[in-house]
Amino acid sequence: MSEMDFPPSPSLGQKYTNAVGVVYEWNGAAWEIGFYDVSTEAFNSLGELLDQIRVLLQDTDTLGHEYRYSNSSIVANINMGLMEMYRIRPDIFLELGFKIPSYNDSRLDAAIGIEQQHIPALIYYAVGMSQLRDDEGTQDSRASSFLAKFTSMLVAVA
Amino acid sequence: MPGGPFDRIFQDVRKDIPSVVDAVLRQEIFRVMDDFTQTTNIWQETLPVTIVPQVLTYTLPAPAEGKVNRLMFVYDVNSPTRYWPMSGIMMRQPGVLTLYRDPSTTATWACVVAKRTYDPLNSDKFPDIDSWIVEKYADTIGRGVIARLQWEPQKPYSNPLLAQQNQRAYISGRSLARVNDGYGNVFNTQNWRYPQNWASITRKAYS
Repeated sequence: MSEMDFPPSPSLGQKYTNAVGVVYEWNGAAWEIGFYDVSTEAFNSLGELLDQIRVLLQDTDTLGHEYRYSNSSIVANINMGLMEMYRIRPDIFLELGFKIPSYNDSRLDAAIGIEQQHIPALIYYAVGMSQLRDDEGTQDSRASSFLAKFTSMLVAVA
Repeated sequence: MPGGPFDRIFQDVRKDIPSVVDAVLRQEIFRVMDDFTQTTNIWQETLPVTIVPQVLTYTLPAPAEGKVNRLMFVYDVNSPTRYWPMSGIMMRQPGVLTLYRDPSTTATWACVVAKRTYDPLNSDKFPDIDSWIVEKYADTIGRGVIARLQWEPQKPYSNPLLAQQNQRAYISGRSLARVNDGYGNVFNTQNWRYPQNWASITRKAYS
């Protein structure tokens, strides 16, 4: 298990992410493990995307105090998905001056700079790329399906 | 959220074009408005200029919004009747008035110019143009925007066939706007024009 370095004197609701990407939240008495923000079903921030990606990866169980996929590995896949999205649909980045945003797991509250309608495609890409990793959870056909879905959502209506 | 006279166009296009990005929609509205205003001469403003002897080139004052595109008419503000005060008045470079002959006296002229939409945009990031133009020709402008979007390659909404149809509708509406405006938007005015080579010498351009 990785070393914990919880901040001293936390405030209620303060979050801490450990080295492998597990998020803890101070509930006033103790550090509680869990999702980035379990109180919302929105997709406005990086942490909220991570939540949904973990659901699709079936990686929500933290009883072992660690996720199978670290936040940083998923965020790297999100960043890669944004690059691929730019290659296929540069118009999505017009509002951002054709600059591809890049995220890291130290800022899970960072806003996602693209329009909401394209976020599902990004989630599917991150799930597909994560599933390509060589571990016991790998399902090649599932990964391919998610990656294909990503492309088709960007260039086709359905 | 969009607002003002472009609001309905924005909503019409968005419901017809799935997955289009707001910024792209605004970009295409800008392009269509630029083409619409340049082609129809519908958006006009009168700009004053003081003419003095021995000067043949004058820079017109900047219009309130948009950019000068075409010189429509010039008249002397102190003249009892409105007619071109001199032959050979040109504006080859938009916004720069050039005279063919040296003016004999100082005078104040009014230059009626047709404008095109340009930066800066309004607070809703739409072209800053008289709202009546957008309201009156909303359907035409919307068709133009949809045509441009459908022409884009590799998009969920790419559709060259429908793009052609929408472009035809746009060009038709744009032509109607140009004619309507040429007749001062008055119903049942003459539906013919003198052949243009009958025009008086003062209307002919020198080259």
